Amino acid sequence: MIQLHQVSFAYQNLSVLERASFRLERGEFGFLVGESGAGKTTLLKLLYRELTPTEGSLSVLGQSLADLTPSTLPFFRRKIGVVFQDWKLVNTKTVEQNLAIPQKLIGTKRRILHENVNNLLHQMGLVHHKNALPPQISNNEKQRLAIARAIINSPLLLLADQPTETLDPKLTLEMLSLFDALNFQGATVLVATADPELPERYVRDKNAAPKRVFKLKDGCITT
Amino acid sequence: MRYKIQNIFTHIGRADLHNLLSLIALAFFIVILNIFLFIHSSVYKELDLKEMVPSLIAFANDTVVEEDAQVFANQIQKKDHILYIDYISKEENFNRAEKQFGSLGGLIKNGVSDSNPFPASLEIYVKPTDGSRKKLEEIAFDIESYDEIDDVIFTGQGILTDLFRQTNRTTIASIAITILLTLLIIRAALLKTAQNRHEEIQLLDLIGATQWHLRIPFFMHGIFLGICGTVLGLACFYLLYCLLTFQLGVLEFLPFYQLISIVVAGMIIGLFAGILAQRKYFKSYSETL
Repeated sequence: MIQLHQVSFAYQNLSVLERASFRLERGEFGFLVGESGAGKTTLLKLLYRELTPTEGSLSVLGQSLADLTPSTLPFFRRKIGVVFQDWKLVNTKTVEQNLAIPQKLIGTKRRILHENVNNLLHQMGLVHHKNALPPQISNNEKQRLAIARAIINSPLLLLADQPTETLDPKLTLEMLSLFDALNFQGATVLVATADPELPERYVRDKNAAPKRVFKLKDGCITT
Repeated sequence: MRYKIQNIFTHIGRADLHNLLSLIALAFFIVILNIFLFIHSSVYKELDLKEMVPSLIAFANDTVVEEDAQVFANQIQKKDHILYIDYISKEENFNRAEKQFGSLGGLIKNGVSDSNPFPASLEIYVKPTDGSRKKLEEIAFDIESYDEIDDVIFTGQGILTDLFRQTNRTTIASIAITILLTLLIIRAALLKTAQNRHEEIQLLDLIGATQWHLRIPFFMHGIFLGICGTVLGLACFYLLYCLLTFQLGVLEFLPFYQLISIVVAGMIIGLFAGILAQRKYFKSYSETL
């Protein structure tokens, strides 16, 4: 499902990843743990092809990323849900409109779209803010909106870049449960976090199945 | 498809002040262009009317008999610049004068019943390429040098031809300048709008919007500005025309085909500006990734 082989990446002269390799099978749930600046975001950006590696090969959803062309890239990205670290919410659109963007992009019928959007707004506790603009809601709510937008199209792969950073411990576990539910439905999930204890805490507190943990340090990945 | 259309309107709506400013600027330049087109069109109409009138009229000496004058006319007609010559006899000129002066015509006829004071004349039609005032002066000077000719007069066609050529040049220059300015104004407005929408465009790109989906709002916005700018400009110009009608007299408004051409041209320029703007934007966008 996700396969990195000897992947290196550098921002000009600053090396971020050095011959990193790992494999996450289809339907697995993994945590990518690393300190701030370790390269978690870079790694995720490589996975949805916002960046291209300077060396090595990547394969995601059975697709070699080197083979993607500008015309096939959008359809590849539609299979992936991404929770961006900076949320990337559209400040001029309401919460409801922000949530509807991925659905509209794939041409979901209006009735189904409203149903899906309303369900997620309820599930995320955002229904009271559905007509608010992102600058009018709290960081916690923005985070939840970003998560909701990432999962609304039921992606085959969910990549979450520190999705619980601004959430309180209780909500953090709730959001991870949501990812777990998506994983249970067959999606592969990779959650990047700077909190090394989060995977263990989640499994313990929610009595969830053990998750795979990849540690990112000095540009290398260890399990 | 619905979302693509919505996306286009979002793109246009996000421009707000830039849209308004660019529309005002476009309208202004279209008004200026229309003034040139209007002058050009009016001069053209005048020239069209004058084409039925000879460029020069040469009056024959009274000593020249009709047969000789006819031979002389045929001789001049062989010259390069001459299209054709109409010989008008003394009697014909007399009759024309009688008709021309209407009720006074009879007075003229009675006053000069014994002799005809009107000379025979040659109405000279010059080839359109040699219709400039300078060329006509040369031809007139040449014809006047013959003994058979008493005087040569100009009908004003030369001045009109010169004026037409001048307005032609000015109009072409103003069209070129307007096209360039329209292109730059629309392109700038589109780039500014794209900057306002940068975050949204980036998000759409990252979650799987196709290149066509991202780029089509630029084209449609360009077309929108092109059409609205030209229509607004034409409306302002029409208002100006209505306000000044009493001073312009019988001058007609621009022909319908010209108005349609301006709007279509605005649309095409808008589309072209959209192509340029999206190329520039996505080039710098991919460089920032």
